[in-house]
Formats: sequence, C-alpha cells, structure tokens
Amino acid sequence: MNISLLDKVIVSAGVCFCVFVYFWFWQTPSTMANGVEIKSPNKTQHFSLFENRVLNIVGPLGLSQIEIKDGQARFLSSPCKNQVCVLAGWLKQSGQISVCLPNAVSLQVLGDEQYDAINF
Amino acid sequence: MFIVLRLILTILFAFFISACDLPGRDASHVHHTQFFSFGTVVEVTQFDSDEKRVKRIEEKVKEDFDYMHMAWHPYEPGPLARINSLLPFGSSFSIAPSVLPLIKRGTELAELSDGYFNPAMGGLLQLWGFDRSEDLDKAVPPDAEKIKSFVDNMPTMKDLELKGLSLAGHNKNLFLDFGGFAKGFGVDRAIEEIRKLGIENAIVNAGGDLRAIGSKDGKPWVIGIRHPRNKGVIASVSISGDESVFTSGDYERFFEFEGKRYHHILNPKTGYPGEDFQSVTTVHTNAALADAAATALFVAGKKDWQRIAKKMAVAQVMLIDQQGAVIITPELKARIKLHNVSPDQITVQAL
Repeated sequence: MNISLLDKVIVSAGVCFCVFVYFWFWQTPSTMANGVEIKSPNKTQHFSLFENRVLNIVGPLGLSQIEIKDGQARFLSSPCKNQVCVLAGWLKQSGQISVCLPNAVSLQVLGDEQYDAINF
Repeated sequence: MFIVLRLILTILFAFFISACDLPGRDASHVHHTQFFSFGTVVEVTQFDSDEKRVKRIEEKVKEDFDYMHMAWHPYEPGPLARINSLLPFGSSFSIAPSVLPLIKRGTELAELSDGYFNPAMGGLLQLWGFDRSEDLDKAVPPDAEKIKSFVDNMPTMKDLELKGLSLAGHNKNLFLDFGGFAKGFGVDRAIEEIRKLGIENAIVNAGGDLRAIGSKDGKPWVIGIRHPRNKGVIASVSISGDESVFTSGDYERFFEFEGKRYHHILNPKTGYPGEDFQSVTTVHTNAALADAAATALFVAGKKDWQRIAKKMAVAQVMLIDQQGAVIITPELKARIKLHNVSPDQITVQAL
C-alpha cells in the first residue's frame, strides 16, 4: 500500500484536529470570575461583574448598597452596626462571599469554579 | 473523490473521539443552595440528576438547620436557653430531648480534649462580650480580676448532673454555649439526612466549616482553605469519600484594643484568647470532632497541640502561627496543596 504525501497531510490534519478537540472540550475550564449573585430575603439576583453599577438592595434593616466595578464587587454601605460586610472590601475571585447578616444580604462572586467549597 | 472521502472519515473519527465523556465533566448535575441559619450562610452542594430530589433535600436540610438553630441557641428562646436560665438554681429540672445528644457529645469531646474545648464556659464569652457580636466595635478587654475569678471557678461539663432527661448544675458559673462544635454537629446531622434521602455526593458547608461525601461525577471535591490574613486561599485539599474540613481562626469574631487583637477563641485554662495561632484547620471524617478539635488545638497552643490532637485522634492538622508560618502534620502534608507558601515557611511536625 502506497502512502502518498496527501495521505500524510490528511492524517496529520486529523491528529491536529483531535488534539484541538481534546483541549477545547475536555480540559478544566478557566477559573475567571464573571458575575455576582446577590441574595436578599425576597429575591436572588445575578449581575455581570463587568458592567459597572451601584445596586440598592433592601433588607430587614434597610438599604445595603453594592458596587460592581471593573470585575470586582463590594458592599459600599450597609445599615449594620459592625460593618463587617463593608470592611470585607472588594471581592473578585470566584467563590468569594461577603454577607451582611443583620440585613440578610449576601454577595457572592460567580465564575467557573476552581473550588467546590471554601473552608474558613 | 477518495481524498474527500478520507478527509470526511478522519474528521468524523475525530468527532467520535471527542464525544467520549470523562468523569467530572458533567457539571450540569451540580446544584448549590444557600440559606441563612446558625448565624451564618449554610450552603448545600449536591451532585444529582434528580431535580425533584435535590429540591426536597434542600428544603429538608434548611428545615433541620432552622430547628437546630432554635433548639441549640444559648440565648434566643428555645430548649438550650431554657436550660441556661434554670442551671443557676442548682436543683434538677427536665430538659427537651432535642438538646440531649448535644450535651452528651459535648461532654465526651470536652473530656477528650482535656478541657481545652469547654462548652460549659459560655459565661466567659459573655464576660468578654463575644455573645454580643454587634457591639464588638466598642468592646474592651474585661477586668483582669474578673477573668481570674471566673477561671478560679471555671465551670466544666463535669459540673452537670444528667440522669435521663433530668439535669442539674453544680457551679454558679455554668452557662452552656455549644458554639465550638454545634455547626459540626449540625453538619453531621444534615449529612445523615441527605444520605437517608438517597444522595451519596454532597457538601454541607456551614459558614465555611464543611463535610463532603462522595464525589463530583467520579472526581474528588476540591476544597479551598482561606488564608487567615490575605485574600484568597492558602491551601486546597481534594476529598472523595467522606471527610470534614474545619478551621478555627482569630479573624472570625474579634475586636482590637490599643493595637492588640482580642478574639473569641478563649483558653479555659487562662481565660484569655489563644495567642499562638492565626488559624487551625483539622480534617476528619466526623464534623463535630473536627470542629471541637480545631477549637481545642487553637487554645492548646504550640506547647500542647500535638498531645491533644493525638488524644482526640485527629491526625490531619494545619496550624498557621502568628508569623504566618505553616505547621502541618505529615498525614495532611502528604495530600494538601499549599499555595504561595515558601518551603522555609513550612514545618512538618508529627503527633
């Protein structure tokens, strides 16, 4: 059986295609954060992490303000005493979470998950 | 013609190969739910294709946590708060069955930890103001004489006299606060319920303390352990089977006074916060034990943590000291992945 140059080209192209398909479909997804989930007693909302905005979220104590800016998010203000949620600062990694327990508002960064859970 | 045919066959073969599945690729069956309970966010992660069952389990776990929160809260109206209000009288009284397992397990763990884990010293937490987290920004350390007086008459679980559902207290300082292991105990219960309902692959995460069972479509669950000071994780560990990861840290509830940090993990032997570590992480199959051990080892400090870990049979431990150096047991070192920690900052210490 004679193997022509064209055969070799076709087989090589097939191998390259297989390798491409493997990396495209089978490899671990990137871990880049891309959105936020904001939970309040009445609703759960999702926003892109790449559209800058300030959101007013109503909780039992009043208004929590959440700022999304340049791929990160934070509690800008909250009506709680300790301000733990505000002091947590900017969140930008997938899975990071900040919660205002007194006002029952949580902010979590979403994305392709690197970790299934975070221990702290 | 043959060339085109060969080209088509090659591409079809490539597609055939790419259609094969690998374990762990199917993330569509991973379900997360979060709710507020136990004064924190509880997250339940399940790997299951049965949507109805997933929903049923989410509701059941939330219901259970809400009940445990009510029954086991030391101050809010409920069975444990009632016990705390009656203990100072010294005479015996009947208790609700829902609190009994908590008292029994708490007593076992207190003994196992040589008293470093002490759920009977809720009064000391009150003395420091850690029962009123919302006022911590104004807190100051209590008077040294008051601390000494409390420690001189330190209540322990041995001061409780339990006969069936009848309980009496024999120390005026007794005040039960199971915060040091209630989350772990609750997580164990939730996992038990989840298994009864037919789920074998799940994580129950109560405010960062968690137990994971099974796997994610054949791939281990990957747990990140948060750095006690910096953003991001300091380590990660893969779990498949059944294990709990618990961390006690000085960053959870604290106040600063005259430049010094005072946190809520109090040493029953001194009455003051444990000073040697920023955080202690334990890995064990039993969540309640891992929870109590993390607290006990934190306050046992550098001098005594190995003895207590050995006594509690917790072989997988990671401790971050005040300088940020990592002390780790060989059992955990063999499987954990440390992130951005230079080798000279890691000390392996066997029990």
